[in-house]
Amino acid sequence: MNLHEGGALTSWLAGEGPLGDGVISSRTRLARNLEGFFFPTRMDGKQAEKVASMVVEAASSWRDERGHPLRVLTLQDLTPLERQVLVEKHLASPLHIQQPYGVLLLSEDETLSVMINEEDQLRIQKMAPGLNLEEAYREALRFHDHLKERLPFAYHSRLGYLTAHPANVGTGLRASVLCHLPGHVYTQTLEALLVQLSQRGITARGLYGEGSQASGNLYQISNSRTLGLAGEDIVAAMDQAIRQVVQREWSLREALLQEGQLEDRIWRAYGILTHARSISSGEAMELLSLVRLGVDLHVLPPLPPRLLNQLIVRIRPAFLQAQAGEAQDPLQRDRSRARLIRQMLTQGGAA
Amino acid sequence: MTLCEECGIRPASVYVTRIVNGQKVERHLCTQCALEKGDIGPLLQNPGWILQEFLQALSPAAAPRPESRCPSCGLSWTDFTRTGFLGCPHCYEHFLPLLLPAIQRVQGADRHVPGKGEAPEKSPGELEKELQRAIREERYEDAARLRDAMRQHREKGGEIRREPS
Ligand SMILES: [Zn+2]
Ligand SMILES: [Zn+2]
Repeated sequence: MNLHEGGALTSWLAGEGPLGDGVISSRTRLARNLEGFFFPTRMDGKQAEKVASMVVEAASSWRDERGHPLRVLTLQDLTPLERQVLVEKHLASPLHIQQPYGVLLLSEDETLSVMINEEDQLRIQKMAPGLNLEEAYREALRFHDHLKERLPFAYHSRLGYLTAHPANVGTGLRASVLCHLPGHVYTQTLEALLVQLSQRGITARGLYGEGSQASGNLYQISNSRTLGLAGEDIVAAMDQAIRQVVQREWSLREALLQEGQLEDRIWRAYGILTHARSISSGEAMELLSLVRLGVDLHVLPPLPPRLLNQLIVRIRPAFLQAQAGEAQDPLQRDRSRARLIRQMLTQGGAA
Repeated sequence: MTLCEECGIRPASVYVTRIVNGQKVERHLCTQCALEKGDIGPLLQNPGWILQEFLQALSPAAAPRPESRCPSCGLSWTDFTRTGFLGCPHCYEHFLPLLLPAIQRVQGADRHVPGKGEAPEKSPGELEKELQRAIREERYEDAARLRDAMRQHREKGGEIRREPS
């Protein structure tokens, strides 16, 4: 399977993308369904299998830039741990891995994936490092058009592409970015930002749920409306809004640094992470956020952005166990996590 | 804002296209005038009428009742409001008068805007309706083109479902 190889993680967490010091990654997702079939919540196993085989067949002729076809992963053939790793890598959703007829199509570099038989029959997903929604959208659309020539997507002349939930109807497009916003969090201006964004039809939530401390100041920001705007206009509006957010994030960070308390907190975080023998996921995320901030503000010596991005995924419970090649209890995981972080921060990611 | 071409008082809310002796006649009417003139009632039986916004103009009594079921998948409006999920693509057409206000509230719009290079697609049901209309109006070239489109749709694997009449 090799689902837990570090190498395969690099593509969308490469950290080389535009505005990489505020935006970790960009993702666009297109929801589609086939005419003549029920939506997944209402379909039986026979229909679900037929839909999966039609999509797999239609996608089989597709090749990425380097000539690789998509991998086909039948979720029920994977171990629970392997399925959980797919969720931690943001390739499948928690809902998807529970589906008895769920299938995942995955490109070689893991930036393009298709969840089959999730909430909708197809969720086409393309990820790109940094703020790069336009590329992510263009590439998702290119793959979409390949399928569209071969599959009858459910479409209504007034409402556009039809989805199981009307909140996704029209473009079926969700454009989202993963942002690092410690400046907003530490100055207690995040709430105000969320209100402003919601007035522009944009929603934000912590990476691992609402206001969760374990989120490491990482927020998933996405468009809430999918109808009434062309896809490229949704993407352009998101891009513009995120640029403003990142700009403000930067002035908040500079102000915090001027106040003089940030430098000490950053070095303390770095000290703990490079010496601790056991660390929880929540504490690790919080301290890694400070280290990332320290690198961005040139308080700390530079670290490859790829390294900090990969740690977001590699310190998650299933991923740690997959890397260890064995099931671990929480205390063992805290020790493995501390060791991995020490190695990666001090040896530049040689682990 | 366009005023009703019949009464000249109320804002036009309905756009009516009628084919009379092969001539296309277009009119902007308010809902009352359209109903009084019978321009909405016979719509469903008379294929000579194309009414862009007819669903908005239907009186509430004409909307499907909450317990009515989608003829394709059997989902009721009550089922939908309980789960938030529709059952199949055809549910949208069946529940459209109930759905549009809800969609407008959630999405702030109730009409799709196609992207650059996105060819507007027609559902098999819409193609079938247009085909029947073309046959009745003896537009045989249009009918042939629509049959081709339906065949292509079938070859891509979709099952053509007939709209309930
Ligand atoms: Zn009038
Ligand atoms: Zn239905």
